[in-house]
Amino acid sequence: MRILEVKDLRLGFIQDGRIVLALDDISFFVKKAETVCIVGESGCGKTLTSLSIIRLTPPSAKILGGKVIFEGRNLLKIPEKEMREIRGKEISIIFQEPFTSLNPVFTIGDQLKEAIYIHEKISEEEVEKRCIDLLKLVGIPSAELRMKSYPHQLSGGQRQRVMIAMAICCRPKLLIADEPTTALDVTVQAQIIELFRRLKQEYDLSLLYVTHDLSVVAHIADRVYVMYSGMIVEEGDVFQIFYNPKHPYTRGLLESIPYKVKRKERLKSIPGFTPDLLNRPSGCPFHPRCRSSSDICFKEKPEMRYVENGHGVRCHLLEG
Amino acid sequence: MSTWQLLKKNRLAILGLVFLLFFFLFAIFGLIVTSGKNPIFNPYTIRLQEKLKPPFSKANKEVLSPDQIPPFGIYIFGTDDLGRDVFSRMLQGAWVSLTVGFVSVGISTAIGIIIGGIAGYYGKEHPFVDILITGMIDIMLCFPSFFLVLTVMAFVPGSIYTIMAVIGLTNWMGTARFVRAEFLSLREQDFILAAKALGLSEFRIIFRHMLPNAMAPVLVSATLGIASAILIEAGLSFLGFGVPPPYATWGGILSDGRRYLFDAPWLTFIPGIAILFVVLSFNLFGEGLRDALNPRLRE
Amino acid sequence: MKEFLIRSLIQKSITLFFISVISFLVIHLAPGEPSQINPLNPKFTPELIKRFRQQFHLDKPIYVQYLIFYRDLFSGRLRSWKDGRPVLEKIWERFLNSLPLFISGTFLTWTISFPLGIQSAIRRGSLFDRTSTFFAYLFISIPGFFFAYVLIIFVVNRFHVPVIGMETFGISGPWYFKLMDRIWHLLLPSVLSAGSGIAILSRYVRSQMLEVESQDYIRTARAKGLPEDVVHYKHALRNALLPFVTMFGLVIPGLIGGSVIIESIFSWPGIGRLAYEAMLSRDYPVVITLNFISAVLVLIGTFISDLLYMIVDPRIRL
Repeated sequence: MRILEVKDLRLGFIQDGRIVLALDDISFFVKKAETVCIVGESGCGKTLTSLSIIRLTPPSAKILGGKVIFEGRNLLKIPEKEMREIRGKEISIIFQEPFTSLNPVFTIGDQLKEAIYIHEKISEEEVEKRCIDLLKLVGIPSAELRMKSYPHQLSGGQRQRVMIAMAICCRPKLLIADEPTTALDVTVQAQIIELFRRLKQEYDLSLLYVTHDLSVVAHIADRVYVMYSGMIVEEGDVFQIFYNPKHPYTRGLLESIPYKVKRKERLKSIPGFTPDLLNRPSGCPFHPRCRSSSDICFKEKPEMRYVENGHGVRCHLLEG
Repeated sequence: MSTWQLLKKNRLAILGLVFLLFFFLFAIFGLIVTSGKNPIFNPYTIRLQEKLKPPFSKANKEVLSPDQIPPFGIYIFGTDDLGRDVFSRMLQGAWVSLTVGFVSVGISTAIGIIIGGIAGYYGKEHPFVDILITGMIDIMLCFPSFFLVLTVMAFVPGSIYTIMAVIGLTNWMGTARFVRAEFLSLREQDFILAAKALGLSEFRIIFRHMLPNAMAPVLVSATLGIASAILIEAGLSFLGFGVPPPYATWGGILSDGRRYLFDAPWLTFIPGIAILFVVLSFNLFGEGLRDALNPRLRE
Repeated sequence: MKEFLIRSLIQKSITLFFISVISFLVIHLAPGEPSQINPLNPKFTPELIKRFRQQFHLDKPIYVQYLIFYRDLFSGRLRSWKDGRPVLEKIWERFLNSLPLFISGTFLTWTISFPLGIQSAIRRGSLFDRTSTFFAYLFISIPGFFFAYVLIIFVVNRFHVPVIGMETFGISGPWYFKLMDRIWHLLLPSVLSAGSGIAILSRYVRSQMLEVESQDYIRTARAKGLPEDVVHYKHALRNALLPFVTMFGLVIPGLIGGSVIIESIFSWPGIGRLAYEAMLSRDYPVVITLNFISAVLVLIGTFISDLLYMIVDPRIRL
C-alpha cells in the first residue's frame, strides 16, 4: 500500500522575471513500512523535494504542477490549516543541521512537550512521562535531567536524537529525514542510523531518507531513487541499483566510491561539475558529463523506461 | 551576485546615490561660483533694503547698486534678515557642510582603522595591547557623543577646523571595533596563514590582504557617519557652537533663520529640507551598502 | 555566572577610574596661564583664567588637583560660578525636572517601536512595511530642531499645545488641574524625543526579527505543525528580543545626552538645558561635573545591561 505518492512534481524559482526550474516532473512513492532513499549530490533538489511534501519550501519557490498524494488527499491543494494538522503528526521531518534546529531559549522538555500538545490533548503528567520515554527510546541518557536542559548543553548527536524524538512523538505514518547525519561524526552517524532501524521496526514507520551518502543507502534502503539536477534519473530496489546500475550517473557514483582501491591507482570521479539551476543543460541534464552521450541526449529529455520489474532508467542509451 | 549587482536592485539606495552625486555637483558648482573677489553668486552681499523677501521674488533694481543685483534678477530662495541671497548662501554652505562631513569622517575612520587594526593584529600575541585598546574604546564610548563634542567646543576656540577635528576625534570607536573584530577573525583564516608561509612582510599582509576584507563595515560606517556628522554640525549651529562666520553651513543658515520662523519660514525650511535630503541620501545609500555587503543576505 | 558578574564589576570600576581622570583632565583644555590665552579665542579672559587657577588649584601637582576636584565635587564644595550654589544641588533639581520628560519619551519610544518593528518584519515587503520604513528613514535624517519647528508651526497654532516650559505660569487650582497641565506640556517634547528614537529602535527590532525568522529552528517550529502566530510570537520573538533587554540598560545615559536640544527648544528647565546654559555662561564646574555624571550613567547603564543579558540568555547562565 502506498502511503505517499508524488506525481510529476514541478517546482521553480522566480528570478529576475524568469522562472528557474528546480524540480522537473519528479515522481516517486513510498509504501507502508518501507524505507525509500533519495540519493543525489548537493544542489540536485532533494531537500526541496522533501520540503515540498509538507509545503515548507521557501517563499520564493513556486509549485508549478504535479500532485503529492497522501492518504488519498493531494497535499498541494488542501488548505493550510489542514496541512498544519498533518505536519508533525502524520508526516514529520528531520533536518540536516542539529546545531541550529532547536530553539536556544527553550528547554528540551518544553520543545518536546510542545510537539505533543499541538496535536493531542493529554494531561501534564502524561505528556511529561511520554517525553521521558521518548528520550529514553532515542537513547538519551539521564532523560529526566535532560528535560530541563537547554539545546546548547547537548552535543550534536544528542540534539539530533532530540529532533528525532520530536518527530516521532505523535507516531507519524511517514518520517522524512533530510541528510540527518551529514553534520555529525561517523561514529555518531552509525548510532543514529541504527536508531532509525529500531524505530522503523518498533513503530512500523515509513521512512523517506534523503542523502548523498551511498553507504547509508546500502545499509537501510528498501528502494532507491537517484536524483540529478532536479530530475529522477534512475529508480529501483536497493539490489537492482547497486548490482545493476543502468544510468551513467548512477554508475559513476558507484564507481567513485573508494573501495579496495590499490595504492597509486587513480580514484575514479565523474568529470565536470553539477550544473547550477540557472544553467541547466538542455535535453538530458547529465549529457555534458556523460561518457556515452550522443546527439539525442543533447536535444531531448529522456523518458523513464523500465528495464525490469520496478527498475526504471531515464536514459536514451538504455544499455549505456 | 556581486556587491554592485545587489546594490543596483535596491532602488532606494540608488536613488540616494544619484541624489548624492547631484549634491556633490551642486557643492562644487557652489564653491566655484561663490568664491573669488567678484563671485557670480555672492553670499555676503548685504542689502538691508531687500531683507526678508520670499523665494522667487524679483530684485528691486531701483534701490540696488549694480553689483548688488543677484544673477537673473531674482532671489531664487529669497533673502534673509540682512538681505543676503539665500540661494548664494546655500551654494556656499553646501561645500562647507560637505567638507565638514567628509573630513571629520575621514579623521575618525583613519583613527579607527589604525587603532582597531593594531588591536586586531597584535592582540592575540600581545594581549596587553588588546586590553589597552579595548579599554580605551570602552572609556570613550562612555561619553555620550553629542554631549562630549559640545563640552569640548565650550573650551576650544570654535572654527571649522576645530569642529571637524572634534567630531572626528570623538567618533572613531565604531570603526575601531569593526576593524578589530574583522582583523581578529581574519588572522585565523587560511589565506593569511598561506601569505605568511610565502614569506610576505607583515606590512604587505595587513594592507593588501587583510584591510580590503575588513573594509565592508568600515565603508558602511563611514557613509552613515557623514550623515551623522552633518547632523551634529547642524545641532552645534543650533546651539551656537557651530562653524562661525564667514563660513556658512546649512546648519548655520537654518539656525539663523529661527527668529523669523513665522514671518519668513523659507529661511528655516529651505536649509532644513536640504539637510534632510542630503542626510537621507547618505542614510539610504549607507543602508543599501550594508545590505549588499552582508554575506548572509546573499543567496 | 557569578564570575561573569564579578569580572564585569571589576572592569567597570577600572573604567570608572579612567572616566574620572578624563573628566578631570577636561579642565586642562582651558589655557593654564594668562599668557597662554589665544587672543582669537573669546572664551577665555584673564579673569576667567584666574578663577580657573583658584578653583582648581592649578598651581598644585596634578594628582593633588585630581583629588581635590573630586573631594569638592562629592562634598558639595564645588560651586557653580554663576550663582555660587553647590553644583550637585543644581543638578539634582534639574534632574527632577528632566525625569518626567525622559520617562514619557522612553515609554513612548519602547511601547511603539516593538509592535511596529515586529509587524514590519512579519509583513516584510507589504505596504505597511514600506510605509513605516519610509517614515523611519525620514525621522532619522531630519535635524531634530528643524522637525520641532515644523511641528510647532503646524500643530501649535491649531491646537494651542504649549511649547514653553513645564507648566503654565501662574496656574492655580486643584492638584489634578496642575497634573493635567503638566501632562499637556509634556506632550510635544515627549513626542519629539520619542520620534527619532522610535525610528531607530523599530528598525533594529525589524532587522533582529528578520534575522531570527530566517533561522532553522523557526523552520522546525513550522514543521511541528505550529500555527503562524505561535511561530512568530513565541518562538521568534523570544529570541529576537534578547539583545533589546540588554539595550534597555543603555537607555539610562539618554537622560543627559539626548535632552540638550529638546530642552532648549521648549525651554524645559532640565539637565540638558542646565548644561547648555552652563556652557554659554562659562560655568565650568557645572559643565565638567555633568560630563562626569553622564559618563557614570553610561557605565551604570552598561552594567545593568550585562546583568539583564545574563539573566535572560540561558546560554550565558548555564
